[in-house]
Amino acid sequence: MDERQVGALRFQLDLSQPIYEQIVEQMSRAILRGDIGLGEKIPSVRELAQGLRVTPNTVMHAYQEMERQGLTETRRGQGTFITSSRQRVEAFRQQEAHRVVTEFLAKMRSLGFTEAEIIEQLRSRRQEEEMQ
Amino acid sequence: MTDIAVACKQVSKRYGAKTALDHLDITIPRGHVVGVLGPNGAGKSTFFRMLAGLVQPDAGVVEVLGQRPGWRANENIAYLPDRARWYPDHTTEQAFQWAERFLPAFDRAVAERLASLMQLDLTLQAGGMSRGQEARLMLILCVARRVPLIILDEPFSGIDVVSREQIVDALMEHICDGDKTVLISTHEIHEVEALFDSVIFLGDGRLQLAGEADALRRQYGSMREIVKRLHLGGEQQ
Amino acid sequence: MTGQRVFWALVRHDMKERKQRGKYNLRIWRWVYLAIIVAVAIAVTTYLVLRRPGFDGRFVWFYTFAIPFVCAGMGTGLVAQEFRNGTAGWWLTLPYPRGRLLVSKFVACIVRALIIMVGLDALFCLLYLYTVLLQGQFTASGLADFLLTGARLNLVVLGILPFTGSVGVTYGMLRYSTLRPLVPLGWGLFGILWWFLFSNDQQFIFVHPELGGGLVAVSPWLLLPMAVGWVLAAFLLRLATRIMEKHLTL
Repeated sequence: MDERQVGALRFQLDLSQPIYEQIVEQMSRAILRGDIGLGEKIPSVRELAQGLRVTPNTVMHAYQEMERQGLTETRRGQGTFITSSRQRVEAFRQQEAHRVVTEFLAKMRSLGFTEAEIIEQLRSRRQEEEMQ
Repeated sequence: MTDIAVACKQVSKRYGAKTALDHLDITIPRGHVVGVLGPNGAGKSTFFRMLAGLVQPDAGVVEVLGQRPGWRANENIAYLPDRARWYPDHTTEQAFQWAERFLPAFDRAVAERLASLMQLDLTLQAGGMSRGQEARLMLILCVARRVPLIILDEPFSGIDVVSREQIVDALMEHICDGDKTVLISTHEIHEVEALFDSVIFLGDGRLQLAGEADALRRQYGSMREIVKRLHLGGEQQ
Repeated sequence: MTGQRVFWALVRHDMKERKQRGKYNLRIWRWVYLAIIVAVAIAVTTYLVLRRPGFDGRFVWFYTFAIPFVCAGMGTGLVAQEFRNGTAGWWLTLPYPRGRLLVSKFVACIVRALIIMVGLDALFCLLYLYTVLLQGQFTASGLADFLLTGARLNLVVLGILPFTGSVGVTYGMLRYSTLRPLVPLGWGLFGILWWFLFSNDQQFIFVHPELGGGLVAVSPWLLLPMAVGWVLAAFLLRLATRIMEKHLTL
């Protein structure tokens, strides 16, 4: 696992996984967490490629993917920006939550948990965290 | 110009009893950074020398940038030979003068910028350089050329970590400059594998595996792991 | 850049003394040896002039016969150093015709041999002046006689240089090719050719020990073996180009 910093962004690249997916994932998390503000400019393909020491084609691929998801927008001649629409980020956040929950449920079910048991697990977990 | 940078069709080469390349079929599109990986004796250097016109195939057809390899094609190729050294009496500055005189499309300004980026003294003589400094000099001589194809045979071997990183940075600059095809063979896979758009794995003069880097990662893991697995598999046979 | 300019730039590049890796003080040692040679030459000639009344300084000109061999050695060295210094990969992938790369080395070794010869000529002329002044026998006709002898032998060597230079370059190329086993055959062939062309020098070069008119007379027929040598030189350079294109070992 290689850690690399580009401007305010920090990336952890695992060379045994597709790199463009990791860039998309880590950048979108940074957006959801608010590490990069709405409407802010993100590094150019060249800057990010040089900073991460990855091929610019991969960065381009990642940026295209983020734009397709509505997280970024390209302004001609100015560069790439995080979308300034809170709604769009919120939509993406919901979509991600949905994906994570789906995965979680599928896994729990495969372990033989019923819906009631899963809710019970979550409730007891919350109590544990509150105690601490 | 064609969209194909390199095409090999059924290329074979033997040195006496030893087979260096065995019916090799390779097609490399333009604009890609390609890693050519494999154990020693896999045929990587022979493949590169063939592209540079130093070695003639016994059988098969080779084309670089739509041309047969040879001195004419070399006008558009920057080739770093394996285990190359530089003229020991030249300073960095004299090496740049040499390149300006003899290497078409060599950009002196780019070379000087890279030299300062890589902390290479212009007045230092190659004969007095460390291996890392000499490697940086030779890399600059390749990368500072505005040519469509760059071939680097083991640019990192025997070089300190700092020089390696500087070489990667210089390479990045070059790659980001647009439609360039770069072929790199190396054993220091970890340093550069994130630079590769696609990878070719050679073993015993044959193509063992090839594909887009991220697709290979999804299927098999990192390039280093793939080399290890292919190599071990070969030994078990 | 035009082909011609590239060619002369290549020659200039090949002309430069290129020390081998790790041998840094070559230049200093060359001056040291030159000083020793000059000192010994002065001592020996002083002795000869003072102790041997019949001493004829004109015989020093026969040193020129070593120059063709020096030239061959340098031709081989120019090719070999690319391989020994690890620069062969750069040299051989230069985007110019193979023949041009080789002819550049050929021209460079001849020019270097000529520079050495002219330098030694000057040195021996000074030595000659020293001896006649020592003897107190300086005459204009004596000087003319001495210079004429030198000029004739210089011309002879000039005519032979293309042949030996091409032999040197070709031998260098052969050594780094898959045809390397042919090296002994090549030497045999060279020996026969040399014997055939230039070793019967009594037929072409006559020594007249009496003073006046030059120590040696050269028959115009010497042009014939020389011309054959030039043709052979062209042939050898073509052969070396061919070796470079097809039979390199790297």
